[in-house]
Amino acid sequence: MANRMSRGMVPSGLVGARHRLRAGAVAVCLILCMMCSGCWDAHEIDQLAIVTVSGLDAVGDGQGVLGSVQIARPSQLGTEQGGSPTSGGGAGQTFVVVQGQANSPAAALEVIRRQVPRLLILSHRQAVVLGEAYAARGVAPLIDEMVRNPASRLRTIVLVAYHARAVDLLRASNPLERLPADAIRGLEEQSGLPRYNLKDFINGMYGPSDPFALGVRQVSSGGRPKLVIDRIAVFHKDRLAGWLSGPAMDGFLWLKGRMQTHQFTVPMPGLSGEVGVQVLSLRRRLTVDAPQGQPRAKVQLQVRTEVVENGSAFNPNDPQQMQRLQQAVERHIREEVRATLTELQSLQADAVGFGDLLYARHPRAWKPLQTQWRQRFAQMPVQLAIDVRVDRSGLTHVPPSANQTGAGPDGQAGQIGEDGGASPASGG
Amino acid sequence: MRRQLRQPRQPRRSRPILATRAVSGKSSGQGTHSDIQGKTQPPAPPAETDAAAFAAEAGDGPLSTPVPDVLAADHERLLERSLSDNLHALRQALAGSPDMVMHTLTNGSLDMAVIYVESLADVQAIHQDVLIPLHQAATSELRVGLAAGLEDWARVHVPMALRGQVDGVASAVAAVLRGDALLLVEGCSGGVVLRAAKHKERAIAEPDTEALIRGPREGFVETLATNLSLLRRRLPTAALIVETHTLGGYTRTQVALCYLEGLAPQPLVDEVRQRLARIQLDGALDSAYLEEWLEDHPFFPFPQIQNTERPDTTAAALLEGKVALLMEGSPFALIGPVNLWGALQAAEDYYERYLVVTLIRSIRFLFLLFALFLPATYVAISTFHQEMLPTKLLLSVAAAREVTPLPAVLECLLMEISFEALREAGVRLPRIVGQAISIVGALVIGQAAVQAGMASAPMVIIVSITGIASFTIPRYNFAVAIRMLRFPMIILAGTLGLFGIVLGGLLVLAHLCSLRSFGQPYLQPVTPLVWSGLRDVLVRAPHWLQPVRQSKVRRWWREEAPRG
Repeated sequence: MANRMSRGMVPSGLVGARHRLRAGAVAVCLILCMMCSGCWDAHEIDQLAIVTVSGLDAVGDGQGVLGSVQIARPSQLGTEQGGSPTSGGGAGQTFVVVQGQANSPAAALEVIRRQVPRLLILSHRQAVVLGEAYAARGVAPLIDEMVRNPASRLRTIVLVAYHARAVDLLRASNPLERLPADAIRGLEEQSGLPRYNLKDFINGMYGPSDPFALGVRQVSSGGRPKLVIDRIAVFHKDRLAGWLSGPAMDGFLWLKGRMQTHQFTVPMPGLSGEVGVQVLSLRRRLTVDAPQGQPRAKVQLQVRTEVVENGSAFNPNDPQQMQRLQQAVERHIREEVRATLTELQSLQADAVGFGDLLYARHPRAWKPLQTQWRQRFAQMPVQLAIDVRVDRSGLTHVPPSANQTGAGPDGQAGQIGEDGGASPASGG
Repeated sequence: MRRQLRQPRQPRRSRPILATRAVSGKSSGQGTHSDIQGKTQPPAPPAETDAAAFAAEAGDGPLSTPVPDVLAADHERLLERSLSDNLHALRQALAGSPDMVMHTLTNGSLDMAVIYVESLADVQAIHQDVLIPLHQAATSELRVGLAAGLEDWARVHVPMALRGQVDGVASAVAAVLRGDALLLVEGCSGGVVLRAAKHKERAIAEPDTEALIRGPREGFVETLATNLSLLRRRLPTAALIVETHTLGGYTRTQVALCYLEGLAPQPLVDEVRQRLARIQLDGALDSAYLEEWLEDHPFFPFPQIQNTERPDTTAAALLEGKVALLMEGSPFALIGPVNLWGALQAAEDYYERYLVVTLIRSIRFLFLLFALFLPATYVAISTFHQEMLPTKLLLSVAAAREVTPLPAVLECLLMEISFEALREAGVRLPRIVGQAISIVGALVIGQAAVQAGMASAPMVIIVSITGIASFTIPRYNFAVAIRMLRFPMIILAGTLGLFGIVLGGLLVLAHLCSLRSFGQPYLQPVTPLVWSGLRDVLVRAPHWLQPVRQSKVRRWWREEAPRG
């Protein structure tokens, strides 16, 4: 007030100067306020606990869950400190696993938070591992928490521990990678089902079909535990329904069109030994329709392969033999796909996504089927049309071990003749 | 009371005054004397006008210290007819100069005197071309034409170039102190100034500050005449106008305003002339003194006038319709107007193949952004937005930062300041010591600090890249401005994160948009957009695609002038 009074008394030049001075002071204060508000959000990197993988297990019969997080230890990851970071256990461990038990995933996270002296950040979580028991109980609460939590990413992979607890898998270190999270990420990328992440899982959960997840398990080789991804967990919406493994898993990958670089061997009919082929390209087309309310599906696969290994007397220059190889490959794929479909239909789990397709293409037909889709899916006839071509047979000839003694060094024509002679007998 | 003393200072300059267009530029600087340099003014007339201006300001200007009486034009004593009186007056005026020589000589009944300063004038030439001819001529011949006028008389009898006639003691003293010889004759009022000045000058060498791989290797020196000759050799055309002005109460420094008539817009030239006229200085020792007087916005970091040591760059600027100022005693020419993009262009850009230049220019632009934003971005991301880093990178950074004691902002500021100190030490110290300093600095900051856990390795990398980035900017003064702005940017990043960087970036951008250099927008060809100008901004189009006459200023002046 005193200032305002005095303003009238001083000459105008002075008012301007004082006014400017005060405006400057106000501006400085405002800037300082603004900066303070920012400082509170700052977190130095060395005060962070970076979560690389988190796990969730069921405890007891009720709601109890055991949450666990794997936190990277940057001090063990640096190159400056020396020492091999991969030495399992002890002080040199590159990560720590912290666990907490509570009644919900979020509460478990809170329990964990209290045990960690640093700020827990989830934005770098590579994967979420679900214990089998928890998955069987239903993962909806966890998914809900992850969707709501702005720090957790939708690109996180979802894995289910096969016959194990997640927390045990989190403790397994991999000899090749510095962090188990890197190992899991790497295995996932090599598994044939890459980039099936939380977002896809959620879409499956809330769509007409069912979600699935990769199954991870721990095997012990030479006393050292390691992780393997060789199974697929099939869900009924948010509940684990069963597992696909072996041929059924391969068939699932064929159905998903994810077999672009797969290698496999087929026995050469009529000849002893096997021929290895590699997929060069795979085109997949699924069609579903429901004439008269009866759903039916057709799976068309167009597979281009090359011969990568010839462990039999197979002669790639012989068109007939080539024909038989293609048939053999086709039979192999058909068996795998059939195994998958049988398994899925017996589990009544539509992990391939026929329901999605029917809903998208024939929404009117879908509507009456919607309520009883599981049963209808289980009885749905699926027609398979598999077209296999072996494009690159290679320029090498019959393996010398399979050569018959009379062929001699000049033997290209001779070989073909002999093989050609042998084939009808073996074919019959 | 003190406030009121400060009040009367007039606003020196605001926007360029375009209304003065009608004033003819050429007539203002022209003397009536005959000289070898046709357009160069004689020293005397501007000295008078400047001194008058000086005296008018002397009452209230805070800068003005009283100028010695002998230099003040309004008090000037005229040279008398009596030689002895004149010598007495000059001896008084030059009492503090023991190296002054007053050589009196008598040829018959004619008394004459030659006055010069031994350390400035070419004694040999004076002896040979002034003293000997005057001595040996027949007295009767020597008297011929003396009554008609001293200057015409000297033209006949003295085989040395004339600068002209002086009438006042002050002008005579000024001429003598510039190194010329003054010839006085008994019975004639006034004296004749003979061109006898001879200074030691540095050899023309390649400029260290603007080195290039391909292109002319000449650089300006400290002598105005040499510099003008370097410039004139590149532009042997009558369209090259050189106007000299004299600045500095004591130094009487010659400043040459150069432009190409017909290419440089007349309002621009008038504006520069006006700004030159406003300068009040006791001494102008380098063209940098002028730069601060001539700028449009003296309080802001970005340079609005280019300086160069290269005659070829200066000539190129003149060909673009710009104006150049050369100053006695300074190897740096001032060029204006400039824009931001020019700061990213080196002389070599026009000598190297255009594809290479385009690539290099884009690298410079990228590194300009690095120099301004890189440390700030690192600080912001590592303290606020860790989720933006790839996981592996985050873990590496986390591993490196595990042991460092300081928050990232402080660490960054400290490292940047140390780097600046290191750079400053390297520039300022004698070359031999400087090398040792830089080695120690590199070891201490680069390695030992990291090993001791005082600083993190990523920070060292960031600071070094930033340092390299600031050196990729061809113009040193522009790079310094960027380096200065980096610090507030780091503080903003450390307090507000990326939001702060965006804020700071916007502020800088807005500021750049409002900057003008001699009235021309600082971001000119880009905003306001001039399509044809874009051929020489980030991309340098080949010379055959550039317009034949590429005036970079004209367009703006032509369009804007009527509005002003």
